[in-house]
Amino acid sequence: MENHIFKLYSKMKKITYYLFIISLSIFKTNAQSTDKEAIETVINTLFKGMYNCDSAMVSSVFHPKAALNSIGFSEKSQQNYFTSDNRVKSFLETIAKPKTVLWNEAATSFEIKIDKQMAEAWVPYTFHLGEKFSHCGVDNFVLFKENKADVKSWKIIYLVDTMRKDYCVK
Amino acid sequence: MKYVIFIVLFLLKINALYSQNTEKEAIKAVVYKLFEGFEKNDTTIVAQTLHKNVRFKAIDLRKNPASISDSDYQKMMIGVAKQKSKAEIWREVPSKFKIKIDNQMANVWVNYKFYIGGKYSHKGIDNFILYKEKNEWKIIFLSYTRR
Repeated sequence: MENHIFKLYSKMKKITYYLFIISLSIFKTNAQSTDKEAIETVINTLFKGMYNCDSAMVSSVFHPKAALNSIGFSEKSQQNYFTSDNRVKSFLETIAKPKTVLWNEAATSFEIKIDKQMAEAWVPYTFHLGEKFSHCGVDNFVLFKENKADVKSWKIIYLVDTMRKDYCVK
Repeated sequence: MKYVIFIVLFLLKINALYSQNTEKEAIKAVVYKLFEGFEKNDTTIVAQTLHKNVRFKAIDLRKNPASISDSDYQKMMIGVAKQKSKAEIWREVPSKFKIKIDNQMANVWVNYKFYIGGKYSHKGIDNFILYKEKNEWKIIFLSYTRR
């Protein structure tokens, strides 16, 4: 009888243990998905700021030491190009200029990887000037979470994109 | 006729997958080469893997709050060139490569372990971004976590 109770007790212990582990892993996935949602919000805020010519909104998503670069293929030189050292500052100046045709960039999808306070977002996009299609490509964002306890503290520390006229990611 | 189209499409798909795989292997080789340069204290090897305008961002999770620090091509070269005794030799070991490619741009997310003089020092994730200049992949960005 005692033996029986002991067995039952150890079984319950095991079950509690597994339940604990399962709840931990659910909790972990939850934390990851809130981080992912926060990162998607950061990126969408960037696009919204660009559309609204709102440099303050755009500036709010960048880390002070962020860099912006572009990769593409030049028809003129028939070569790949990489423009580096584009500072956020000059980008913000361009954003702030009032425009007759608005910059309309939209994410096609988000693929996000997170390691604690570092994240990488691979984001195929389309870019329209007003209503007219201009180009597409992939934005590769790198983000840093300044405060580990604050899901809203993700900032873009690096952005590089590809640009092309066709073969857009569907 | 339908079958012919199907077979042609199938072969094209295989061809596309195959070229993606060769690109991925070429990208992995760049990462391994960088680590080889570290271990051998060899700036020439390291230089072959880096774009001149490369940027490095180190995110140290061992500190509270976590710190972020910048480095560049020159600083990296100075670090690599510094003569190291046997007890100071860098060895970085990657595992679980995750690679994405879009034309001339690639991203590598990879686990690493770092040893100094054969002794385990720290680990984390390396997040590389590469650019294909002419026919060579070069690292244009690397951010990494340390823990």
